[in-house]
Amino acid sequence: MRRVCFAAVLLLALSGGPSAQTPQTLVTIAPASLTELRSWDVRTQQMLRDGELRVRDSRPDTLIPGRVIERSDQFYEGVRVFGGDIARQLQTGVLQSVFGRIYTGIDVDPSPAVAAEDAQTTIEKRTGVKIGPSHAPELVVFARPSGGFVLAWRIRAATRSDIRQYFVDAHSGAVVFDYSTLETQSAVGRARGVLGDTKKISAQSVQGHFIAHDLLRPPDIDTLDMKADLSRTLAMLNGDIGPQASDIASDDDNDWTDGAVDDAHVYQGWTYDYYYKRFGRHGLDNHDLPIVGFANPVKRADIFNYSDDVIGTFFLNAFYAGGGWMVYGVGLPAGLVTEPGDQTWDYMSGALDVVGHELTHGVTEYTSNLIYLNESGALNEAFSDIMGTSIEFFFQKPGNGPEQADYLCGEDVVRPGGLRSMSDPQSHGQPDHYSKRYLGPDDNGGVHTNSGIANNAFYLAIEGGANRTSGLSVQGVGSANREQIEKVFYRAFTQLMPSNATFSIARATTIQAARDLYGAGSPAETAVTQAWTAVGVK
Amino acid sequence: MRRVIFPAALLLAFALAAPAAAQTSSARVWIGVNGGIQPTVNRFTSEFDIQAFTESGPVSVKYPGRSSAGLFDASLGLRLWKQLGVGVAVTATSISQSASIDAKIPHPFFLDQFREVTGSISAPRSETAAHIQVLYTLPMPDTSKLRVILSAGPSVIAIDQSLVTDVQYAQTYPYDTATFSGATTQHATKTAVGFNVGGDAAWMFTHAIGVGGMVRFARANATLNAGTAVKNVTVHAGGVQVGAGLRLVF
Repeated sequence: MRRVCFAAVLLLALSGGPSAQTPQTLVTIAPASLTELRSWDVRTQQMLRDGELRVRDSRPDTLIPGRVIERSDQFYEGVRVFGGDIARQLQTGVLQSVFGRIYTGIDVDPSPAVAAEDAQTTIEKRTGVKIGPSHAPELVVFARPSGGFVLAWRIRAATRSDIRQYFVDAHSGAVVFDYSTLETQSAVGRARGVLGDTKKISAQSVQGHFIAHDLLRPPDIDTLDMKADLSRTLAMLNGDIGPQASDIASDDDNDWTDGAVDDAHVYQGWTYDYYYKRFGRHGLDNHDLPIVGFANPVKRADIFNYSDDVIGTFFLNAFYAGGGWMVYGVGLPAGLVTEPGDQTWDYMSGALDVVGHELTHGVTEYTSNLIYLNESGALNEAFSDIMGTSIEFFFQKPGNGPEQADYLCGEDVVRPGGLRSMSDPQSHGQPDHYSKRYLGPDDNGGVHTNSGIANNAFYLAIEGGANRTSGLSVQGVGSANREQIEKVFYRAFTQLMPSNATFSIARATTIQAARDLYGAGSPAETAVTQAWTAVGVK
Repeated sequence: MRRVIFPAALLLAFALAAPAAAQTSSARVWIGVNGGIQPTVNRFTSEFDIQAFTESGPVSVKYPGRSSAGLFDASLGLRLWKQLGVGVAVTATSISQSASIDAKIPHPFFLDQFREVTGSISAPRSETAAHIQVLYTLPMPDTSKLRVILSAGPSVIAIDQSLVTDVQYAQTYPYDTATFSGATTQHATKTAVGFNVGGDAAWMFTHAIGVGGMVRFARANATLNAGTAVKNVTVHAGGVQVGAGLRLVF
């Protein structure tokens, strides 16, 4: 049966060329007999003479002396036919074998109406990457999967997560087909965190190695290893350059050992999970905005080469850079501490609540967008602390040890004591009562200071107890019901609160949220109301 | 229960033969063809680990071993001296069964967090046995139409058991649950040597043709191996076999 079809196609091919109505036909060349081989020898030589085939490569067979392997591409009216090619094996010029696939029935106008530059611009806009001159578009005849042929510009574009071939119709300018040329596969590996713990990491297998690109969660979650290239980091943060595939952290065997990278990547995923599982939220913008973490922006050993500003930003800090980008500081070299408290600083991404805190700034950006100034700025910071701590309690067991959930912020990497305390803000220099709020101009009006007031209200609403300043007691919902208060604060801060909210508005919106979710007079509403009263917010 | 049934069958055979006077049978060759059942339950459990997301998850597969299919039996006997003879019987049985699978699938994001997956899949088993037998024919009067033969000897039982070797599951983000979607099975074959004892009673309509029934207990133990994934599992083969059919005597 195959021979019958083959002969029919051969007759078609030899019959003097297809007509305009000839359907797309892909002829498979695989001679099964000497007769067929001879026929195809004649046919391919004729095609070579006519320019329908052009030799692309001809080199000696490295396995059989005297043989030559010759590869030829199919052309139509001087334009390469994408996917049409043959491989011939020759012995002193005599054909030994020929295999390939060529198209018949091609009928396209070989003159492009769309310039290569315009097609390239189309793809650059689509992918957000700049394509260099070494990857100039190639004009090809492309066989549509749905049938028929089209004259197209073939353009290769490498993005952060993929390398794709695009085919742009050279007459209409439309993208008619694209596909990935990247050999990829989701791959879960093992990672050692900053604290030496082992956890799973969702990576991507790419041509023999693994990159910190999460394929298992709905959004793209990438972690970049900036390899202490602060200039490049700044260039990216300023939009001068975009992250390239080579910026994504990688590992040879999927057994990851760079704690700063590992924890950033894993905890970004966990934070996404928390928002999804607790609130049904799809990422920072609720539309699965890609998440990008920057690890190792500087090297600890270089600390003395940098100014205090750089140290404060890229060593002793983690920050949300907007648009789903987070930068994680590297901490201090061994032997260096900060005063007061003689605190050591580890890689900031090693604390789940820190990562959750920074990503929550992204949630705020796409919801209430609390102005990072004065009371609204303090609420912005407080909401990040509240969610960061809630994420800890969601994934870690309560306790005072490493990787245990508590009401300290950043305690796993800033030791001892962490950065802030929600249960006792005064212990870390923060006010726990509205009457003690900072009113000066520093730190945007004390956004990292006055956050202690809202933090303590959140703590009291869950755990209950008395505010240290007012002495007023709160009947908390209890740690077993912490989900209620988390949902109340989430609802208030992401849905009910305006961008210039005050503490008073925070009180009103959280009470409203408690009523919405659990009813008027519910334990949640009572707890929230008492908590705000206890911290002096009316 | 099985031990009760078997002696009872033998006693029945003896009881049927008892009224007859002792006499040497003149027949030299007996052929029996039976259809029947093998009601014995040969349940067993196999275990293996499924590798997923850098962890191993245990999988336990229970095979009920309950036969619902028939038994085919064919036997040939040859009297050598007085009531003694030798014979061979061949049986073939097929067990249709659903193996129940209980798997714990590792979570892609978290260590030591497994998703329970349960399901079932057809895991048939077939047994083909050759029973070598020493035969003893109970003495009967020449006029008796009843003929009773007791037998015992070694059995060679070939087992072909379908074993579950992998579990397929479906999962979607956030992957906290997974559902059973299928399983991979592989045939494990083993031939084991055991024993058989039994009896055959026939009622002859003519000198050469009759009908009869047989009861046999055959047993062999075999260790099945389905590759490196599944731990070796020892199974019982055979059991009580009951059948009835045509008898030819020459």
